[in-house]
Amino acid sequence: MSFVLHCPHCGPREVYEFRYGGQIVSPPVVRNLPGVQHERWYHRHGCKQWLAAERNVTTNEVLSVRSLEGEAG
Amino acid sequence: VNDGSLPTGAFVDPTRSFTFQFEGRTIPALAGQSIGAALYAAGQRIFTRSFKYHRPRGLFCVSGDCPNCLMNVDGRTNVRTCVEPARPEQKVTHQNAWPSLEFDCLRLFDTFSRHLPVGFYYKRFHRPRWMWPIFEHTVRHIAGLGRVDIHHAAHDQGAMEYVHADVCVIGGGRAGMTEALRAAEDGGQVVLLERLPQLGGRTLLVAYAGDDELTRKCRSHANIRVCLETTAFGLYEGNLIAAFSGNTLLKIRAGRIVVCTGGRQQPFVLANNDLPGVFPGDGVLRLARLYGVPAGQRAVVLTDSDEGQALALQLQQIGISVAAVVDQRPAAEPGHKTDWPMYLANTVLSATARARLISVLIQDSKSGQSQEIHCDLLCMAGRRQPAVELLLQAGVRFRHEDGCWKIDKEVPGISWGKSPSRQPLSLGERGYDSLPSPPGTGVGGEGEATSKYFVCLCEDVTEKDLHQAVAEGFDEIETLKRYSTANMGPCQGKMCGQNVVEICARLTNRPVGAVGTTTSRPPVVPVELATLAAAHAHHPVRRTPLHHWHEASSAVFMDAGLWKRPESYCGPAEEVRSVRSSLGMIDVSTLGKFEIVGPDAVELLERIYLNRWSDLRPGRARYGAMCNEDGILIDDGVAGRLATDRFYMTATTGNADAIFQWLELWKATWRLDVTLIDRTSAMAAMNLAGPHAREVLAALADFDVSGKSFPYMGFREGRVAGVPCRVLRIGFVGELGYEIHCPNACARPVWEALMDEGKKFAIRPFGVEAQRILRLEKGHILIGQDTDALSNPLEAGLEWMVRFDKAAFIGKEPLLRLQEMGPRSRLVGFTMLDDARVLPEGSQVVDDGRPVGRITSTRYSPTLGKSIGLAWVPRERARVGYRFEIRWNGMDVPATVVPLPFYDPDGIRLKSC
Repeated sequence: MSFVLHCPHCGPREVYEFRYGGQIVSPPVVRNLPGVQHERWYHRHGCKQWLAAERNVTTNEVLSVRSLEGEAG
Repeated sequence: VNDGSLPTGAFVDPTRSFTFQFEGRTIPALAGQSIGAALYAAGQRIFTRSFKYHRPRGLFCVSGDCPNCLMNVDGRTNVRTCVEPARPEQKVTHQNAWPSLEFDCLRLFDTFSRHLPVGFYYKRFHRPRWMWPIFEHTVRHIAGLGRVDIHHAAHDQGAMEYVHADVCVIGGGRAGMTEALRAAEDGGQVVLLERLPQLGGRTLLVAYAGDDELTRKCRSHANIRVCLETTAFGLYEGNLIAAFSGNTLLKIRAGRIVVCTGGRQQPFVLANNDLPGVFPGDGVLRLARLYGVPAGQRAVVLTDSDEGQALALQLQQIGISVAAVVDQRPAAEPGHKTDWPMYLANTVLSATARARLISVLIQDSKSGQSQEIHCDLLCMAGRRQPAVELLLQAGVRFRHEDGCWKIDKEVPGISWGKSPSRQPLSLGERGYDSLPSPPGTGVGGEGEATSKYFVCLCEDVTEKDLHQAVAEGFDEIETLKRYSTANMGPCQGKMCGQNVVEICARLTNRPVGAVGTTTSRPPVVPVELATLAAAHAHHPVRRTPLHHWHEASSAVFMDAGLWKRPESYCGPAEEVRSVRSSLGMIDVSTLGKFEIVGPDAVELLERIYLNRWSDLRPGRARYGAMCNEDGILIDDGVAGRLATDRFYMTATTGNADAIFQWLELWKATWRLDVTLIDRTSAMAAMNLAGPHAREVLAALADFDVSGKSFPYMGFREGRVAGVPCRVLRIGFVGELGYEIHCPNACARPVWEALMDEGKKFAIRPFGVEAQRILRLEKGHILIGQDTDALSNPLEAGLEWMVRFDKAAFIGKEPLLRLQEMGPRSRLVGFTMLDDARVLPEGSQVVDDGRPVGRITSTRYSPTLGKSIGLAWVPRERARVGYRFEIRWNGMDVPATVVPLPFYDPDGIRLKSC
């Protein structure tokens, strides 16, 4: 695992700077499916903000990273 | 560079010489020479014994790919001595041979090899069953290469460097340098990696000085960072390159990667092709041109391409006479008159050696006539296969078609060196020569018991082994690899990969392209674990602003997460007595300290904590615990209200970061209008505790600290010793106590003022150990110590805190369900019945000989004069007076449940005044 997340506050950063915070799913039941997944990431070595990312878990391609506040519901 | 006189070696400084030790011998070496080259120059021909048959092996690839030169150097095992630079006074010893390299008893396996067929360990010794463990033990003992010395400490710790570049070029040959220059001229920041000590690649192996200009340009270009002696060993997603230089690990993130790793000569498969003296042509050139050591005097060149003629010319230039060039092709004209005998449409059948290679047997493929040629070198000028391991790791895919490599799948951001020639795929200066011809002729050798046709030198896999494996049904390349273990040794198929594919194709009557290739995974070359661990070698340490005071007061420190905390100053029992009878003070700056501000601040606390917060008045504080969504306890602490919309909250030392992230997560999830400020590193805190605490604080505070205006669980802002502070009146240790928070910069004056003022009450600083005893006497739980990932508040004795009448809080639903079902176990206090022994925390609680729980905290209480502790017991047994046993050291030691807290059950000492 060595992909890069484009933090909306800090710019492109190594995944090692972030902490994974689980899937964003409702109801909160983890589904392990291939393909694009919505998930939370915390930028612990950067802006210290929670982010919402879309990631293809098969290819580790990160499609988007936004602030979590706009996402969660 | 060279006008025909013998080369001194491009890496060698002939003016500096030294010696090192090899098996008790003193070996001379020149600076820049590899260990292997120096040993070869000193006459050493056998470097290792092979993996399975313990056959003698000598230098082969001289490029760090093959397993033939692995030795122990100064305690480091499996060092590739052919490329490892020699250093003065180092000690080099052999591996995998007993008693010596020259005479190895286990050579026996070679003689009895018919009893050790491919996959023999899957077939033999299964019956009788009891034999298996003995057999397994024996095989494990014999198998393998060097032994790891687990007591060997790396000389110096590895380091790690992150590198960012627009373009990273792997391989510093002509192609790599050209690519690097092109990218640099375009204005990009370029990193150029070369595993050898000089740029040049294959141009260093020929008497050709034309690239000096290219090298100079690369070295002097402002945009190019040249990393010599740096080996890329892995290519990962997101264009990440892992490389090492010495024991420094490099993580290189590049916008674009260009792989220019060149190619390798494919070895021929023939009888006894593993004898010392059999080399790929490049190996002989490297030994001479890079390290200044001639490999022999008289060479036979075996080839199936034009490489043979070129090699023969090179050999003459480095002073090795060419006995013959044996070309497998039926009619290849040399194009010019040669100084050596040419044998066209011939092949080498076998090599013969006594102590050294003495002759090869060649055969005319038309007439069948054979003849012996005397020589001390057999140089194999096989077809050049591109080194594609890194590209495969990046996801690039190839197809072998009509003897050429075609691209099946490209990956954005990854490219490779384009040769000026017409080759479809070439990673270096020279392209892949597209002339397909089957390797070797080894199958015929089955009759000869003593001759082996080696395909994989690492694992001693012969052509016959592959035949047998395919006959047994392992005819797909991936299963063939796993069953025969070909490709699975130190070289990971770099030497043998293409031969295995071609033999598999031939045996299964398929085109080479239909066989495919095995998966390439990092690392491409062996990497020392110490290098990989370099990333984790750095342990940051956090110190509180009072650290130097503790040091000067001869504190014994302990680790608490990243923090250094005083464990004790003069002994915990003495410190406990001081707090109980008079006064003590502890540095609690490591606590998590958060400021929660905004209209929704109280709403956040209501939902995070289990208890109620909306009714807390400004100037008051409250103890609270919190759960995760599963109703499991995650942390506790005290929060105080500064104003309607402002709280100051503490979290336990080890959880501070996680709880801050937890607050941020729920703030974002619920979109609460609140701001969180982490003040953990900005604020110091100290807990002044003991019957005389108020007198000391009163002398220094500018506010009223009387019991009436500053009662238990009160929260004040004011000046202490002139410094603006926040003071919480709380009692974790069970005495009248004040937790004083102040800015870091003022911590020392405040602390010292309190210590000075406390002198009249014989104040003592106390450490974490005394605090643990004090809190246990008081029956306060430590989350994480007394609870685990299955502990909930209803069972941990915090049921009084859980307010199910709140609209929502994290963990409400699972806790409601648990309450309906009824808790199953309970955390209780206990004392030992018979003695004052303190049993180890984590020991089992047994009842009628069956384990039913465990003890979580145990200490000797100096205040009560007995051994006390906390234990998880089944709910039906959680009643005062219940007797149970604790299993310790094979004995069951009796204990009994007692009411909590052990000390001051009514809290009179905390609250009464």
